[in-house]
Amino acid sequence: MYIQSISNTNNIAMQGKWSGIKQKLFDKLPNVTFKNPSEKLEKATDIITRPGPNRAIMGATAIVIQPAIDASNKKIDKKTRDLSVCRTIAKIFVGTAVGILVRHKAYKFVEKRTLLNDISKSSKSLLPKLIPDFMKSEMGLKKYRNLVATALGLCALFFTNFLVDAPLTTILTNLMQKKFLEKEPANAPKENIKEGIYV
Amino acid sequence: MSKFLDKILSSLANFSKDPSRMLIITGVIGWGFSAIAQMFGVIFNPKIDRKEKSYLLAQEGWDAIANIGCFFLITQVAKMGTAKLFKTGKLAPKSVREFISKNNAEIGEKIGKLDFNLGEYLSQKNASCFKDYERAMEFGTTAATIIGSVAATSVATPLIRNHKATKFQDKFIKYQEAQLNSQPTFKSLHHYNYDMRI
Repeated sequence: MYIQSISNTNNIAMQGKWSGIKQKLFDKLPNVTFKNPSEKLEKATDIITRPGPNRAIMGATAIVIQPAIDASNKKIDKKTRDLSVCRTIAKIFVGTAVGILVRHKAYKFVEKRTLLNDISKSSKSLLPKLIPDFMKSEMGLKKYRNLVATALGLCALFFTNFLVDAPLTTILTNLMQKKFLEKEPANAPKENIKEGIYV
Repeated sequence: MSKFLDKILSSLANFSKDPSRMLIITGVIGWGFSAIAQMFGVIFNPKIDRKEKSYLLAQEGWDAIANIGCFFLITQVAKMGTAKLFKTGKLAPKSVREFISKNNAEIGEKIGKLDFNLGEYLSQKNASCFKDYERAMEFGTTAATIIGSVAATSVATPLIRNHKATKFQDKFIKYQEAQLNSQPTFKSLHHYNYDMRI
């Protein structure tokens, strides 16, 4: 008991010290004031938080940055490096296209089945029977829709990863490898695999 | 079936109050499955030789690990940090700043304190600027999450996975060379047609 109370006291003291340090660092940051956000900004936020557009933004930035990083890895041989770049481009292209399609369809599916004010049964089929209060506001309903669409998209992506993404990535990688990577020069010496030993 | 579905939907409704926890779970699962599927794609691709496969397989595995790690270290920190800046009043739109000035006697000293929640205060007071505060915070945390995700997924993860995959390939090449060197000298890698003529 005596030992426990000492360790508890030490923990509380350490937490207090750490909070003090955090507060001191926080105090150094200036207060920033900016323009009042408009309705357009709210709409833009609503769009970019949806799974489909979100995936598109991630894909667009990835296809610009990731192949460049792969191409700059000089610690591996040229053939492996070129193959890695082709594969990265193929993976991002296929993954983004399939991801956007699946997530967009999932969101539309969920949106049609989470209409609070509609009378028909099917338009409320993805709403819980007891709708919590926070979901009755527009923002709360949007958050719920995004989450359900993400969960549904994940279930679909489990299948599409194995049945669509991986095979398409392989096909595209092989195509890019065939078309863009250097071919052997015509005057390269061919390996002599038939030898005769004449005694 | 409908009771089971209702249970799932009710759980999702609870999660949607703070979707970040659910997004972490779905993100981790998604990256894991994607990496496994891509590894199968590399293994069964006949046009890639073993040396390159060793690099690509290690790259895929470390891609998933690095993505998950960087998500917590970079994306989550960016998002939570931005949310804290809004909650403590360090970042505020003009209408909220004017409200704070008018009520300086009550909350002036609390602005910038880590344990203060400006959103809760504005909501309790039914302030007219609460809508502006919500919009600004929503946009700010979304932008921080996207920037953090790009930094994590497109910059930090490729650097980490390439470094690890390079090391793995080096080990694989050394292992292959050791295997070759340990073979007896009379064995040949190629099959020759020997024509012995006396």
